[in-house]
Amino acid sequence: VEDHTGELELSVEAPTIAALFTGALALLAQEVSQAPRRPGTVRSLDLRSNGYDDLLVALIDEATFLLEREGFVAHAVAVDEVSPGRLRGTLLGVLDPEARQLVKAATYHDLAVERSGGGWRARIVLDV
Amino acid sequence: MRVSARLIADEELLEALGQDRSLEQLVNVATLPGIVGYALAMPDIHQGYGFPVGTVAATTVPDGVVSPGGVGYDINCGVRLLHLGLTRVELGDRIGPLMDEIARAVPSGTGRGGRAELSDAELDRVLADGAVSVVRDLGLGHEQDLLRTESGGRLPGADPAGPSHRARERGRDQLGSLGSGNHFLELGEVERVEDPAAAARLGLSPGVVTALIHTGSRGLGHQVCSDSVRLMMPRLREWGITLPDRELACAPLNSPEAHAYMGAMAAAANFAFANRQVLAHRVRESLELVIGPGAGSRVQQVYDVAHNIAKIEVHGGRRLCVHRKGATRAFGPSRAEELPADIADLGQPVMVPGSMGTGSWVLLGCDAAEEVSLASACHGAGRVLSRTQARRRVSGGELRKELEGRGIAVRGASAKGLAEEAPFAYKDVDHVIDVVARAGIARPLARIAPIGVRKG
Repeated sequence: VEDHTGELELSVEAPTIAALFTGALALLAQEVSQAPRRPGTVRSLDLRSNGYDDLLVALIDEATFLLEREGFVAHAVAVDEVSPGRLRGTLLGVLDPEARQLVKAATYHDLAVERSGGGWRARIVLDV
Repeated sequence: MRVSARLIADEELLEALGQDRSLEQLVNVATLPGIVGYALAMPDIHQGYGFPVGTVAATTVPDGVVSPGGVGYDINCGVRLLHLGLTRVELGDRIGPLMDEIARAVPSGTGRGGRAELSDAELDRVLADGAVSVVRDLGLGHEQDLLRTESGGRLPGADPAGPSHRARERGRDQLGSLGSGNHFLELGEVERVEDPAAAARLGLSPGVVTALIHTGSRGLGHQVCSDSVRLMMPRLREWGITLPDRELACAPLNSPEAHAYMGAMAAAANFAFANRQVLAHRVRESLELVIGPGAGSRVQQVYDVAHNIAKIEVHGGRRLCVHRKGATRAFGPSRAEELPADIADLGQPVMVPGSMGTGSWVLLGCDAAEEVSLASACHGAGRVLSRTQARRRVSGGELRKELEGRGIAVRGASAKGLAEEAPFAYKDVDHVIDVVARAGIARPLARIAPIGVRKG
């Protein structure tokens, strides 16, 4: 979690694109919830997009929606299919009625999802 | 850059700006197609996304553009000030029970919505008519509240069918809720007034207890912005628009995309006006329960103003689409026909919340603001520290103890959320107000000290 005067900026590095998405969700979960992670609570996921960066925005927005409507805190994604145009899989998380409804939306400001060395890195600013 | 940038600040504020990227973002705003005058920054400017927070930018109608990011995700985030018709002395030791009752009546940011889910028909009426629907259909509030609300609490041109299905789902149970982050409902005491006669006409005399409500359109508005940015972004090339930041995504005002956004944004703005109307009613109900029968009816609305919005306004004889993101409309007395008739000669009330635990200000818009700042003023103190920096300096527990030691009753905040909103994370609001006054865009009327905070 980077220092951003007004908003919340997340930076993630991971060996694979799937791990990158899980890393972003884990950072977000850490900001909004203190509930211990337990296996068992899942939500299906099927997002369409115009690239991996757009996909990251869609993923964070989906997590925000599920938190707001159900108190579902997503902390990982089990990926069945991932390409620049689609992310299909399962969100893993916990139900936490005390989770902070902190994030309003993911933004495209300074958004980056790119290859780095042998892995991937991402930067995203969230409106809070 | 198509126009120059104009920043209202003094040396000290300017120096603080060097620590973030807000000026770079302001320069980016100056590249918007159709922008006229200046890309304007208020003294509380700080780094945001796309537009910095504390920006005013106007584009020509119909040749310019509208940018959802120039409004922000929390459409019609704003503040409403009530005076409670009693003094701090009269309230006495009932501040604790009153804050408890408000905390019970006003859901805040842990995922909880309002008290009830709206039906489709009810939601349509709220989106079409805003606070007017809450007063006239639901019976929560008074006609006088509407007169003392920007745009009468109902933005024209709202399209209830504009917000997507997901936006409606997010908003359906959130009417009458604060949300999270920097949103709050704060009880305060008028500490001093600069113009006693003018302040008295707004019910603001030293010692009077007030309620300041800061919230917006909740998830419904957030989704409208997300949907609109996604819709506009792929069309930019076709429209011949090149931008330095994707979050500045915009649409020509004469395009179907812009019309759709303006209709959906107005609907979301109306949801926000309605939300603050319901919350004002909850304050009245809480007073009835804690102080006694009749206490709620003594509550009067000072004013309600938006600080994240785009509106079509006439300036210098031109119709402009004025984006205010983290900035407040500040009409002077010469725009009397657009102000409440009973206080039009004073200028528009402008509420400027300070940081939690310091103080807030009520200002009056001045005619000079037309030239200097497109009839706009600041919206708050403005952050200087990130949330993580604030958390590193103080724990929520320590801060709660400190605030309560100073006689400020705190309700409802998580330890993390409280620490993130620590007073030292913001600029000195008195300094910001001094700069606003010296620029001649609004004049200070009353300073309000906090006595109780329901945190979002």
